[in-house]
Amino acid sequence: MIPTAPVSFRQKLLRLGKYKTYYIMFFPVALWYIIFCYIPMAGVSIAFKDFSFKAGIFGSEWVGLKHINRMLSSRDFRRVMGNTLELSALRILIGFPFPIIFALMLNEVRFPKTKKALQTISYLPHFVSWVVISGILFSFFSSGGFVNQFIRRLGGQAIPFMSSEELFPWFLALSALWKELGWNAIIYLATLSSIDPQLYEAAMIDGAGRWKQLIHITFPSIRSVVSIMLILSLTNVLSAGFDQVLVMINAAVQSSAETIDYYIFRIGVQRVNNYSYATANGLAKSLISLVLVVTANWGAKKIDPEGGLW
Amino acid sequence: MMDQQPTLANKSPAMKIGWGDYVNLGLIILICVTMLYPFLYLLLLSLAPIEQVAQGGFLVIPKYIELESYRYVLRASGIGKAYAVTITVTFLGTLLSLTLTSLGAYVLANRRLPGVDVLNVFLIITMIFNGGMIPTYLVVKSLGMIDTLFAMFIPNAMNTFWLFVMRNFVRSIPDTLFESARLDGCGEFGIFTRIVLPVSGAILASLTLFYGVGFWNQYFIPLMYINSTPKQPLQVLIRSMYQSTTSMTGSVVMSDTLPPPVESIRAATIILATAPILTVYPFLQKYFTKGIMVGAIKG
Repeated sequence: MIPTAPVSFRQKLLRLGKYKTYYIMFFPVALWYIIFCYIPMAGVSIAFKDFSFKAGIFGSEWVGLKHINRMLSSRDFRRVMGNTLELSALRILIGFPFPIIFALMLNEVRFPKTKKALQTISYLPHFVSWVVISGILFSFFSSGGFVNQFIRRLGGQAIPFMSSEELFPWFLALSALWKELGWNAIIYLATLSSIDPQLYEAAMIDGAGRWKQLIHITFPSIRSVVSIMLILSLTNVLSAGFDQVLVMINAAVQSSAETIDYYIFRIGVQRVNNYSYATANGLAKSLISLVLVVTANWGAKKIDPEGGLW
Repeated sequence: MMDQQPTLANKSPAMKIGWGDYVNLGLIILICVTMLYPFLYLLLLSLAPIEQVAQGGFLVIPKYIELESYRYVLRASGIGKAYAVTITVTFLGTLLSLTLTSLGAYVLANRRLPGVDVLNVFLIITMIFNGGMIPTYLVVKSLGMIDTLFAMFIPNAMNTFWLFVMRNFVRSIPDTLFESARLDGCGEFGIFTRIVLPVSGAILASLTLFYGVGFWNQYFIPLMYINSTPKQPLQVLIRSMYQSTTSMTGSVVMSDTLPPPVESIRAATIILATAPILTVYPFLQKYFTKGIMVGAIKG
């Protein structure tokens, strides 16, 4: 036990010595975080430098706000940032509430074996890569795909799901919902199953019907998990499902569907030595998402002092 | 009327199943059908004989099983190598991820450790802020990892969220277990390998699945870090197969007969690339629902 009396320096050292093994065990973990998280964070400084391989991240010459100014006056930056915010908002509006609804629906199923089987099926698309899913979606929704063949056979006009600038963001958001619906419902299902059944029994004795139980017991029980999940999903919302965009984007929708990540990848990695400018764009993205997360966390704490991520 | 616990629902006579239940169930079944159908369709298509594939349709029920498209895919160069790359990366990556995650989780689970709050913050910061694509790329490049298999699993070895889930799981292990091990003269590392790891079976199984699937399915990482064709994993190969109008990127082996239709080849490749995961996850499901529950709710 930790002594309450004042401790000498020697005693402090002894106590640390007792924990020595812990620090040794944490060392490889810390090393990984330093190399692959903290050095890249410091590497963001190249947004204010002219990066050259010879000088490296830390030796390159400072150029102040050159790249930031260029970015702020760039039409491309405004376009891709607009696209990203639009797609992100759509992904949250569609992708966030439905898994909660799905969990509530699944939770009401009264046949345990059927429930289990349906739950297992609902995880399936989550485990399949976007590369494969995009291939499947293409054979179903492209202009010559099944869905349009069917519409044509009925005498209708083909719908350009994947090549219309208006429809494409919806197509992305809805297919992402479909892929992650069952998976994102898990956490809510787990929360729902941890609610004390006595609460429901008591409510039933008091004559509360199904809806009343849902509103007075179920909703309050999952509220804090919902707010935490919302904040967590905001932490990388501006990535806007980069893997998905990367494999589904096509020439017809390129200018309206290009997200900030895709843009950074295109100008930073595919083009030769444009690293500093691309990093400036990445920094803008990080700052906007930081503001989003901090605001959401502040809001969650306003509503419920116990809530929030930190 | 309605109760949330299935066990109770079965026992209590007050629980009547109304029409609302059937509407609800019907809707869920409909949703699940849309998830199952594409994969069933591809499986049947990959097994169907050529003349049936040419006819097309919403669901091709093979008159007889024809494995020609699988034979073709396996013989075409590239897929064997891509498979080997994907399996190697998935295996080494999952091993590294599990090692680092469980070490980190065990250390952070100890609330009495001096400086544990600092370590927690050290990890949380990386969840809300990161260097982004280009600086990370430059770090990987300066480590000489570009175009090596290491680039596909070392830079993305950790998932901080899962580390915290496991930390919460370790915290839920009763203290008495640790105390008795200490009395028996077990060191901290001994407690980790002999107590913590064995009782963390559920969470380790879940993490194996999550990390494994992540490495198996990743596309962007190899796209960014790998340049040479022999080191390309399956996902990159499948992608290029879809992008090219011709059937396969690899050279065509069979010259005396016509190759199977593009649709069957694609279907067979997709089935080959997804089957390992789709056959494993249903068996691990009970672990990951349990693992997430204990790890995420109690945190």
